[in-house]
Amino acid sequence: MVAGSGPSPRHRADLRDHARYVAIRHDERFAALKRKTRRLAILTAVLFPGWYLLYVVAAEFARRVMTYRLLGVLNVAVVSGLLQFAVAFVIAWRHGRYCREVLDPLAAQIVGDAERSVRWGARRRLTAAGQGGALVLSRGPGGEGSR
Amino acid sequence: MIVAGAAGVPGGGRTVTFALVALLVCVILGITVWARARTADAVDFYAGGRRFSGPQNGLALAGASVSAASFLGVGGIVALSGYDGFLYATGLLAAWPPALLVAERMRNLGRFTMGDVLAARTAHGPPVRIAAAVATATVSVCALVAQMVGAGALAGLLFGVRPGVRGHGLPAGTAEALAIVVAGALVICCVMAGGMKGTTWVQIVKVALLMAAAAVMTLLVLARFGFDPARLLGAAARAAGGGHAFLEPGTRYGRAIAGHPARTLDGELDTLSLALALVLGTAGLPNVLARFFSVPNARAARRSVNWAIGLVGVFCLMTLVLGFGAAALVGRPRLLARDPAGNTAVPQLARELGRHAAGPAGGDVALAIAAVVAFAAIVAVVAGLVLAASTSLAHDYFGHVLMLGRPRERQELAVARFAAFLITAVAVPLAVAARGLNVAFLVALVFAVAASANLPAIVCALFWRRFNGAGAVAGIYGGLVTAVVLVVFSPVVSGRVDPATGRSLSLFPRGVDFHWFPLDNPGLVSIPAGFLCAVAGTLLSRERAGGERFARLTVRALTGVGAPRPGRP
Repeated sequence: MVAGSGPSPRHRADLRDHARYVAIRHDERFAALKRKTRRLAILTAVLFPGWYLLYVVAAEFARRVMTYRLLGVLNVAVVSGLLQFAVAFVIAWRHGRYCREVLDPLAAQIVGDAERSVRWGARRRLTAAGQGGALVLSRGPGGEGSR
Repeated sequence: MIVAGAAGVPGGGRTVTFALVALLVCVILGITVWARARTADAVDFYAGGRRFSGPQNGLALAGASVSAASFLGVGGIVALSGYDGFLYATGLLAAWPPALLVAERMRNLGRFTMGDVLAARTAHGPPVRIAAAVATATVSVCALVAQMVGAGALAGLLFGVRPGVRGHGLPAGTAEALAIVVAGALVICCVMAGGMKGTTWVQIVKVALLMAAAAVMTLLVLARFGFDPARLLGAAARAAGGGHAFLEPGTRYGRAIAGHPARTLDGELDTLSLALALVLGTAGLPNVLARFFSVPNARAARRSVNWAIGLVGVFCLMTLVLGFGAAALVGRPRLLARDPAGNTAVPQLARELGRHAAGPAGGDVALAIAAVVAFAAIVAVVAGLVLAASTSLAHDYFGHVLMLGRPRERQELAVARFAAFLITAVAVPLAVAARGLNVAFLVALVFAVAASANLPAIVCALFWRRFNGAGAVAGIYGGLVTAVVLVVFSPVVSGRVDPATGRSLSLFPRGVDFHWFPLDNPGLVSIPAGFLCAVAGTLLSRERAGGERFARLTVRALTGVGAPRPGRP
């Protein structure tokens, strides 16, 4: 189906997602992940566009500096234009490396633990239901066992 | 020199050109047939089954910047204005690091469109989705009319015969109209039948062709100067006649006008405005946003943006070399004789390089190749825009507003295909009618609307806890209306006259003048206006913030739990 919020074959998967979501939200490491992604986002968002806009502003309003000749035909304007490319490549590379080495493993850990806690919780609830207890899905397993 | 005189491509070159165009058409149709057989459901049509790898998607993503407009346009600006081409080329690249911020989150939060992501932040989806569809359609239609007019102009310059000049071939007007119609027909086939798979593969082939053509030409240019960039720059500055001013800012953007400090300041602010719109607009272009949903996971979305940064960077460096090469090897008088705007600088350089390598026949073949590659680039970009617009109309407007989120998948797909047909069928006559007009205002609009309507809403939706549906609606319409109004009352639409020739440089003819906004590019005002409207709309509405909703979405955005996966819509 294209969409639908009512009962669907995906209903069970949705409940499972909900349980995982609750588990993740109560994980302290998720707060750390949030903090780290936010810091990275601000750094990337400020650094590169800022550096580019500084360059444009300099080209417009600081012509004296930009036309200063460094070596042969190379002036500050040409060199800082070429530096734009270098900085973009370096930022993309560092950003990718930080994500690969820090953020991805952390997220994978959090999701993996949540997955385990959900499975564990589901099995426990099934046993409880077998003994006549009510099947409570809305509360979810909480943060227990996630660490 | 024949180029400066009659038809662009004489005799034998013309046959080669037509053969190459025929080959290109066959390749695009082949891809379309292949993609049609592999497009079964909505996820296939809108998002290519979410099965493109990071590098594949990166190639296609780079196609938004690696386009005919940059190949011909930036090359031309560098060839005629020298250093100021740097500002534009670096702007194309500077636009991509911000895309790193939104790519992963968008991938995890939305299914097919920007409307999905914005609607996730509110309990009342329909108004938000309508706003998103309106903004998407506005940007797409402006961009695709501008692209098609570009395709016509290219064909007219290369194959057409100018009025008053005798020669073989079609009259320039016929060649232009024919190129626009052929491009439109190809796009309709590719999008209606092939969906995202067809569009992406056409885009990938195009980026590969364009990069290869640019790389070969760059090597040939550098070889002429002993692989010494400084010698190339020096030769270009000498040939341009402007001496060192050619390598300094201010020949085109923010030109100092003696005795008019206010007008000089306008020029400088306009450059800043253009730069701002370029940097913030690219990540809000609908054909870029649509690609974030066509990969299996957030990691692939990030990888594809990294690939795009690499490709766009290398491509922009190459266009700089080509531009300076054209200035040095073809020379300013011949460039100006062919096209005063400089858009034929790179094809002319191709011919010069080909002739130097293999005689006159080589020159014709090289020119033909450069022209056909540029044409392919236009078709691919237009296909991406049409697909993005029809996806938004079918999924956001038809699916979630008219059918209340419960359409049959086959209905929605039929609507998407019909919308693709309709959009192209409307754009082709518009482009045919607009050829010969100055369509610079469309380009100004595309980036300004993308940056001032789409981006504020997306940034707030992804990063601001308090944001809500009213803020999204206010931000989109506020940014959109501000950008459109400012462009309508800017000198690109009316009131600019060439002091030397007395001809109008605006959309309207000389004598019509209702402009009061001094800048060509409204970004400097309209982008803050978009953000302001988004913030004001949020704070002034009574809609509950939904902190719980935001917390949930944050989990989904950062970990991918609950995000659409390939195989599960």
